[in-house]
Amino acid sequence: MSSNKIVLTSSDDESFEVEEAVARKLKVIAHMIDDDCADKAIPLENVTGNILALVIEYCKKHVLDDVDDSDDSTEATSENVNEEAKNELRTWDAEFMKEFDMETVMKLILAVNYLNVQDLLGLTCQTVADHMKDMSPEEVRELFNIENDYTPEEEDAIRKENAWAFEDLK
Amino acid sequence: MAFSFDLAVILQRERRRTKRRRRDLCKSRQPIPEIPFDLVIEILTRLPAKSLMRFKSVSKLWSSLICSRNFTNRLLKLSSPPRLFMCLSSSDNSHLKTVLLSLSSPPDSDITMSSSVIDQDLTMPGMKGYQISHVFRGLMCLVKKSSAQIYNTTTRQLVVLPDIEESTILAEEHKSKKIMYHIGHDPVYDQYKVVCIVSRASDEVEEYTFLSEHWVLLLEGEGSRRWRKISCKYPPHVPLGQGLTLSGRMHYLAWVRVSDNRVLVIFDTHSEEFSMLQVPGDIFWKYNGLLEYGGKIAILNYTKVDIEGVMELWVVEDEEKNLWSSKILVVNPLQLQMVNSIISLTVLGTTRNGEVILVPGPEDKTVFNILLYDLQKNHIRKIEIKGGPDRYLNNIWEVVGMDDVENLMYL
Repeated sequence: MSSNKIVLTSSDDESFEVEEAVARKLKVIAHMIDDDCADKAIPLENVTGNILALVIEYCKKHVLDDVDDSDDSTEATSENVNEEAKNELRTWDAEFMKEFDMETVMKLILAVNYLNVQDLLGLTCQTVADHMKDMSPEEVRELFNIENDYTPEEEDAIRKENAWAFEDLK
Repeated sequence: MAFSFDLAVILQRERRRTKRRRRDLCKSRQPIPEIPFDLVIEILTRLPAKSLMRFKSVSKLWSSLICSRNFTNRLLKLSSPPRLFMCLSSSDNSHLKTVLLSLSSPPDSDITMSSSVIDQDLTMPGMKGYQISHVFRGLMCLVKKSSAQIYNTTTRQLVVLPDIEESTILAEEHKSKKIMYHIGHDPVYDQYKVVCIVSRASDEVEEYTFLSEHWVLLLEGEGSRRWRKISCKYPPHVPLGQGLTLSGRMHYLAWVRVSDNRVLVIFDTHSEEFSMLQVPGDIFWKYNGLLEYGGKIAILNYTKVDIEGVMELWVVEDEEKNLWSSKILVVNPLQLQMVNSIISLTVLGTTRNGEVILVPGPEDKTVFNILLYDLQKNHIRKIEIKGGPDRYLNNIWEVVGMDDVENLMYL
């Protein structure tokens, strides 16, 4: 694994020195490295230091995700080890996301989308989905800052049509 | 040692810094940033169907997105765990009541006994008196005489199909009328179609032949739903049992003449053309059913299982050349008892991992279990149906379908 260091600078001028392998998890940076544009600090205009730190923390933990195990042990053993490692990562991911409020998760989604870290995008989107799955339409509007453009009659008709979906609302 | 201490100090500082960052993040109470719509879609694809149905009332944009074909197709690809659908009928004060239940999928395993749990009651008021004839991609066809309805098991939308007013056979007062409805999908135009085959015995008594009509209805577009009659260049025939859809083609067994060898009829949902294959002569017509085997259409013949302990699998190797292969499956003697404890079996279909679903036939409605037969491993396991309220367990029941698709399609 290459031990080149890459410097990333956040929108609020905080600098982070990371291993190239970690930086490559951010696909937008990987392309810059491949195009030899990463010899000096890379400015990330759309991401604050607080959020960038979280993305880097995730990438450090997942840096080996894309690396194939070149292990001489038997296939069955390495499969078990792999499965164990995957489960451990899943647990870590769940704990990692548990600490944030929705505002932070939404900021993370925007940053991760810009930085193009696909697996973290999936994780953050799933976190929002899990958070909102039992919400009422009113709560969802509030979460996403959406204006209700239905007339009361229209909304009532839609609710009646899907009455079963409103059964378990708290 | 000094090095490891330094590293520990650095890590500790880093942890403190991260924790402080997180505290700062969680303290700041700015409004939640606005998420671009493509990311909203990413979030919505990860929601269960019930939530999505509820969120149609968030806004008109969300409603049109959730009902849009692109979105529903995207969710189709993220198919859900398989579900079994079960129908219960009970005579209650001389009225026949039907309850439609959904069961969680039995776990994949090699053990010979496991259970499937009743976890949803999907009954809708409009279903009364209807029987389930077919389940395909989250859509269910319900039939009562010549009337039909389509029920989306995910959205719980129930739609009555128009009558086939121009049918000559349906207009006649004839006691031997047979009607088969089947849902198919045209993969080229991504359209769902309902096929209806209406048949009856011909008036030439000595001929033992049939009259049949073939009708197709496009399920899209509420206002324009109408039945179209389609021609079939093959002899009139009567379907025997329910069909099976595979790769945009519908397959069903049929008779061209009473007591003759059967034929396998294939209907291409896109071109709307029929083809017909002769079924090998030694397949007895009653106790077998169509299934998918390695991506091909196959027939499982289990007439000899109670006497000889074997089943026979016939596979269509080449439709063009009408080429079939056959394979004898010797049932494990230890598992034979499970099969023989059921008076009559019906093939319901194949699970995602290739197990054939065998359900008790009409004479056996007190047995509350089904069998899953893994043809590759030659292993049979029994699935006991559990978890329903006691009121369910005293009824005549029937497993009517298996499906592994949540389909949000708006009918």
